[in-house]
Amino acid sequence: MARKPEAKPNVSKDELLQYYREMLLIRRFEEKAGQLYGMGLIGGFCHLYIGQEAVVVGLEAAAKDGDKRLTSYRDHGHMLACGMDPRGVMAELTGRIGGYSKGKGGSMHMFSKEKHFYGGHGIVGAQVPLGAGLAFADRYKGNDNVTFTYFGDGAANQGQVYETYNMAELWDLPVIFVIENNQYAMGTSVKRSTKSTTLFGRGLAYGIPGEQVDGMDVLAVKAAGEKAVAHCRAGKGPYILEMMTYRYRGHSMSDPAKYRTREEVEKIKSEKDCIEQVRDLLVQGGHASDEDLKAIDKEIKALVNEAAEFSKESPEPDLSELWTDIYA
Amino acid sequence: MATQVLMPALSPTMEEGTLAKWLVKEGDAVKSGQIIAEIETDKATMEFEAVDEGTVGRILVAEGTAGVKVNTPIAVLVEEGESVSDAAVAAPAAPAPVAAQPAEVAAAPAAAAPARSRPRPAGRTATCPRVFRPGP
Repeated sequence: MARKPEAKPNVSKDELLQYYREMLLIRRFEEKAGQLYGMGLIGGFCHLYIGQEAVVVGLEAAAKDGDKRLTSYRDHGHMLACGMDPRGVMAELTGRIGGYSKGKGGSMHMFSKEKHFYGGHGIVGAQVPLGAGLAFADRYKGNDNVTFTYFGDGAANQGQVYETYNMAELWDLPVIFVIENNQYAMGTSVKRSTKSTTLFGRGLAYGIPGEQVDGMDVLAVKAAGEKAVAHCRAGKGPYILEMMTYRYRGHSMSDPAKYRTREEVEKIKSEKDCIEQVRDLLVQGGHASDEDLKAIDKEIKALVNEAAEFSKESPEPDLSELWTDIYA
Repeated sequence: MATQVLMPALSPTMEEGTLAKWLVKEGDAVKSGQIIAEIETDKATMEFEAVDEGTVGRILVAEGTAGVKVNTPIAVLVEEGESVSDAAVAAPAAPAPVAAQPAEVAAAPAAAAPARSRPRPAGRTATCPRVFRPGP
């Protein structure tokens, strides 16, 4: 096993257990979603977050109440990490009335005012200017909230991202641009789509500081998140975090992922897996026994199964719902 | 408790597929996330991961079988503590067609495979990259 946890990270047992639980919830939830998709209970598109869990869990650990977040269509993990109810998320996937968008939004379109989650967006990169807009509102109101605006390495090649960078820095907007660099834009590797592969560095042209982070290490993510948050809350403007991460599954459920080798995926899984890293820290630090962790696994599994049951039992929206929540 | 592994739908339009290859055999331990089979759809060959942990108790559909309908049980997983022979007891206890179906399916494929139940809509090419949309 090539995983080598740092000797003694400065982190408490409770914190580690919390990250373990949260990352495991996302992974088990996504596996269950994949299974329900396979059974034909989830229609349309479905993009799983498996492998990237440390990014959202680490950054949520650096956030406070009132902070906002929004992302693209690979959004289930973000919702679970900010405390949205797994039952409501799963029921939205199955298109039921108990879902966050009453079953009318599906996998890519969910929102929660209560948890300040502003979507789930299906258009690649379109959430980036929206995130700056949310940050503009907070700046205007004079509070110290920050907005986490997530996008992928594919979206990082879109023009609107750079228009947003320019305005965000010009107006010192409290927005953290989180590039989830999972190395493949659908099936195109970063190296095949740009010669400027250090994505955070592009912000320097606009005066935005940033850094690359090991996105498979939840503690490194949290530390970088705290730094970025402090920068934003101090009124110094935006910050870019390029999270080096990896998705284990295909781009979507119907992607056979032939653009990379099975060995490449297996290598990351065995050497870098974010959940296994925390598991190692817990066991080697004497914080938890195998039995303790098994009990947590069981608990999380029950939570996910309950969400799955709810998503099957909740009724489909009534036909009259066709005419609600629409403009014009 | 033994769990059935069902033939998955791997795309929004898939109704049946070919069980191209088993990567595990009866008696093998399986971890969630482990690739256990290769499934061929009308568009591509996809890897199929296990969701539940356990031991492969029985394989119900042999590799190479074509025309396997989505949601057909293709294998039975048994949990830690259960013996593989328990699976033989568990499988028939599940809905009746379980035991019969694989045999039917195995007999049918040559005839069933070429007849596509639903023609692919024109203008939808699976290999076309969708730059601005998340894609299927």
